[in-house]
Amino acid sequence: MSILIDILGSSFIGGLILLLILKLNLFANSSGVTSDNELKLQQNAKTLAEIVNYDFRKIGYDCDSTSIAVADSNRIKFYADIDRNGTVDIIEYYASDSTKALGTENPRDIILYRTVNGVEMGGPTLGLTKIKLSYLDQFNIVTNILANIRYIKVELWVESEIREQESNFVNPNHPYLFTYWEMKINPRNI
Amino acid sequence: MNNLQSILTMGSIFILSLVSLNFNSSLLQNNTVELENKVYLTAFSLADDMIEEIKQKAFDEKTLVFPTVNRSTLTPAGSLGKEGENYPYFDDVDDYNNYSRDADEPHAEKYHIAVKVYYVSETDPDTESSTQTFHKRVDVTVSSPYLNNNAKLTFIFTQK
Repeated sequence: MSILIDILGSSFIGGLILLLILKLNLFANSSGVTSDNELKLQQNAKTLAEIVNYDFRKIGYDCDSTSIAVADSNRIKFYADIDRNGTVDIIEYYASDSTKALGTENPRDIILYRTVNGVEMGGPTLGLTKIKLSYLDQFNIVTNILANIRYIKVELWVESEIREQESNFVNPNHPYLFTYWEMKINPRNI
Repeated sequence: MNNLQSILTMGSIFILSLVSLNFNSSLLQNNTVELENKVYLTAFSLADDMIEEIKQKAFDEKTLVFPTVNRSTLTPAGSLGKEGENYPYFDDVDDYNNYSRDADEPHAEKYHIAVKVYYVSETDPDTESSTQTFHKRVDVTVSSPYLNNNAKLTFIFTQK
């Protein structure tokens, strides 16, 4: 009888320890995945910001007239000699809707398109889910008069491309990590 | 099981629990740092926005129309600040001295942005100057209850 109790007791304790190790392992794995996703998310946000920043700073370069042709909240069209070949180029940025990025798990992500002289280039989504452009005058007041625009405020909402399996840091109805990036760009040539 | 075995078993479970607890807390700490990084990113972008805004302004109230070659005509170091203007109608860099405002962003609220403007030595931009020079240093500090340390960006403006 005593041996039976010993066996049952040690099996119970062994089971507990096994479960503990298993749970620890699962937690470590999910935390590692979340950590990688978070890093990728922040890298994506930074990449998007650098792409936009690179072009927007050149708005109006070598252009004598009003440099911005279209200024919408998710679309901008401007003039600049972007490739420095002496000819003013027409550059346009606009965002697609969420039906264009079907290759990712995230149902909300969109693609930011960049066209140069009508030639369209749509890169990877990089988890972008929303972009908002605001146009400010010299006193940082929102304006819709194209000639008065001095600053462009760009806000980016970026989410992870793959869903979080076991994370306490996401909305269970939309389990994707999220980050936000904003920048105010003052193109020197407008 | 004799008593010794029981004590040894309980001791090993206790040690395992401690290891597990430490492991969990270090993972949680890792997650906290990641979240804090996101808040830092936004804090730095807010500071950068502020510097970008100031870049559009004149170097000094006295150089709004014409630049000067005489340092003594610039605003004295003790008088750096707004000259009657109110935000957002500031017209020169030092109007932003002691300017501060709060900002709320989508994933973290209660950022506080504070600006300090002062003259610095022309040969050593880390040394504050008590007299006028052609270099003004702008320190933008962003704080948040979610940050352990403030985010601080510095930019030195020279007369255009």
